[in-house]
Amino acid sequence: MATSNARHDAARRQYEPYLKASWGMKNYWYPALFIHELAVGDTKGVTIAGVPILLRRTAAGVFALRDQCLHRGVTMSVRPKCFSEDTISCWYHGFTYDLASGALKTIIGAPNDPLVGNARLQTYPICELAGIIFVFVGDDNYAPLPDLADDLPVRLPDDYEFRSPHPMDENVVVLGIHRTGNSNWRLAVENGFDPGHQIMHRDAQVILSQNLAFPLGLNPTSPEAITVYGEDGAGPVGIMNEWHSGHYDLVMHNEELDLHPFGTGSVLGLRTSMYLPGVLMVENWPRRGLTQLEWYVPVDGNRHEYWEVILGVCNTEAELKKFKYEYEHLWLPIALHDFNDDDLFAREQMERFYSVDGGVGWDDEQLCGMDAVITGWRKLVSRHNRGIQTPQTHPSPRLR
Amino acid sequence: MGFRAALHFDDGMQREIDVPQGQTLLDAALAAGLNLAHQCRSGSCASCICTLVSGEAGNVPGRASALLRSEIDAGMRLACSLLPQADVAVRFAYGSRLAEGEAAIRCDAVVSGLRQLSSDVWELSIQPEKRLDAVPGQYLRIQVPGTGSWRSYSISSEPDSPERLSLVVKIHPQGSMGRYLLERAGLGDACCVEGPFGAFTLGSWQGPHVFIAGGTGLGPILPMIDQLRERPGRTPDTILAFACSREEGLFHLDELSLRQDWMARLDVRVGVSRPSPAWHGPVGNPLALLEDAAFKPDSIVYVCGAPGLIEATRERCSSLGIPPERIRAEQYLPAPDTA
Repeated sequence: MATSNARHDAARRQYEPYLKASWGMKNYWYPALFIHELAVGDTKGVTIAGVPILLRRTAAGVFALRDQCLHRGVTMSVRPKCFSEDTISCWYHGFTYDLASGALKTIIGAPNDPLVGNARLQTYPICELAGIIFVFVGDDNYAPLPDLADDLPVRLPDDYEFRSPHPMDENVVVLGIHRTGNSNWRLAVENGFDPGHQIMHRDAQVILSQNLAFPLGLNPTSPEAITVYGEDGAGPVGIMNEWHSGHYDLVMHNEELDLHPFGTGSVLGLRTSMYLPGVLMVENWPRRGLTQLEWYVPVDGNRHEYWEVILGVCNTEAELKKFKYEYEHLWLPIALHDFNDDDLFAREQMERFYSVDGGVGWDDEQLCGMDAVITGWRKLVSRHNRGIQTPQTHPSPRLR
Repeated sequence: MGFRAALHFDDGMQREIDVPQGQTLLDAALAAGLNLAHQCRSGSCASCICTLVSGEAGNVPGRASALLRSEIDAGMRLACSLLPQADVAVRFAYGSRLAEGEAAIRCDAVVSGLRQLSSDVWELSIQPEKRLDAVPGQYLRIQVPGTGSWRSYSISSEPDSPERLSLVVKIHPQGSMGRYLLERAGLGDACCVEGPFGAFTLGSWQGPHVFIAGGTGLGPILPMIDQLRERPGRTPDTILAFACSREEGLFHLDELSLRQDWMARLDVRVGVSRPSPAWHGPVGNPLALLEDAAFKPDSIVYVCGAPGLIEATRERCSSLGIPPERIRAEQYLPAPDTA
């Protein structure tokens, strides 16, 4: 079992809420599906922060409600049944819900049951932006509803040095994938902007093919290595690594092993930042002028949905065609796969040590100097979260 | 013959009971299976405080009343002394769940932690043999180990660890608990506890929260703030004002700092009312740490400490237009042998 001392415990208690957040944070906007994954008439199920959610698109738009019939708890999306445009019925006993309000409108074979009109499922706000359907997951009727922009990376001013595309920019095109990773969401976030894991990516195709001098390590040397956003209560809450601020020690040589980076070029304006509820922005990546965003959407204690998208601004048809070609033949295979496959591999390798089912990692890890930004992230979540999600905070499907 | 009493709870639930002539409201409610917050049943502990909304009622004659003048003026009564003389409606400042939950239990316990927190405050942790499901803000009674004396202390630990309950104890060196802690306390000491008691708990009100803690009155407020942070919905703007008479008496400053780490909307003010020349922080009782603008018309105010602090808080709130039902108070009185 963990051997800990008082000083270690005191440091850990500063971010105790983060350590409790096995199912993530609640009352945030999370990506649920790409818009192209949900055509009119489609019904699909996702699980976010432990909550099963059914998404259905009708001619009137996208609706989201708890994907768990309040009667016997079955997942409705596995066999969608819709007998009218504005309802969905449970395939098992015919409990029929209004898509917009979640109210139990009728029970097909028991229309006079007193439950009808007196029970409902929770519904979830929806917002579509940049090719993605976002769903607000959290407490019933959380008010006021935060803006989606508050849960996206910070949108830097147009004249910001080395600014790269943001999902709210005009003519932005978002291309990407999502897949399930078998690790807790926190391990995924902490991998995403970990300045210490450069060595793992040393031989990546995206590095070698662009002849990049990817440092062996990046070690913060002053508090100014990190910028924190949103502590004043406005806009996104996040933390940015300022690689080019002069407050990072870029390790280009390991004497003991006589190791250097292979390449000689550098990516101007490469910056990484992480925002609540777990959104990574990598500016000027995988090349100058593009942005990579990642989400690590908690599914439950042991899984996360890993979203990887690349943003480009395409002002003409020709630019769009070129960006799509470049994405399909270059960035999808060598960035989103080759490079990020290693990240996914690393998180899944950490999972056993940190497992919510008896892992000791949160007690026994030994962080070091390179991890300052990770500790900063944990404290930021602990202080600014809108709610911590755990199996204990998971509500019953039946609401009145 | 008797009367009907309508009991209104903070969560909007209402229960009606019959009160036979000559019976107190508390006795009738207990007989009807409603476990209203109560303890001494003799008018002195104020646990059973309620507000008479309508109807006529007298009091059991020949009894002291722990009610403050301001509380009586605000229509407050003690259920254990209240004798209806007509049909009445009475409001309780806590949810019906508390009243319908398990009654207090009495069980053996052992001392599982002893820690001096400041010059005159100790933390006493106990491990009860049975599970006492307390709501944050409630208190328990404990038999001072090796004596026949019982004392009441609020529970200051988080509700998710009922196997270890922590109490914040102000030391009166000549008092029964003070002598125990200073002279002979040891881990594993056997004692007896009873609880949980009290209705000083978080209401369902929305709006900014102000917590006012005098000395060990901070004890129940810590878990209440944790509950406020963790409960569903948007976390409200919250101010905690905490003061002790001397700076060497301040305690749990590390716990308060952690609460600020965990809750961006929490503004903590710490002061000392009788400081030494070396003290550079705010001076005054906890109420003096709060400027008028710290209170909003829709604030809900929780105050825990000596009777004078509670009186002063009510007066201040009244002058600022905060209605009395938005103020919840828990009085701390020294035990008889320490007074």
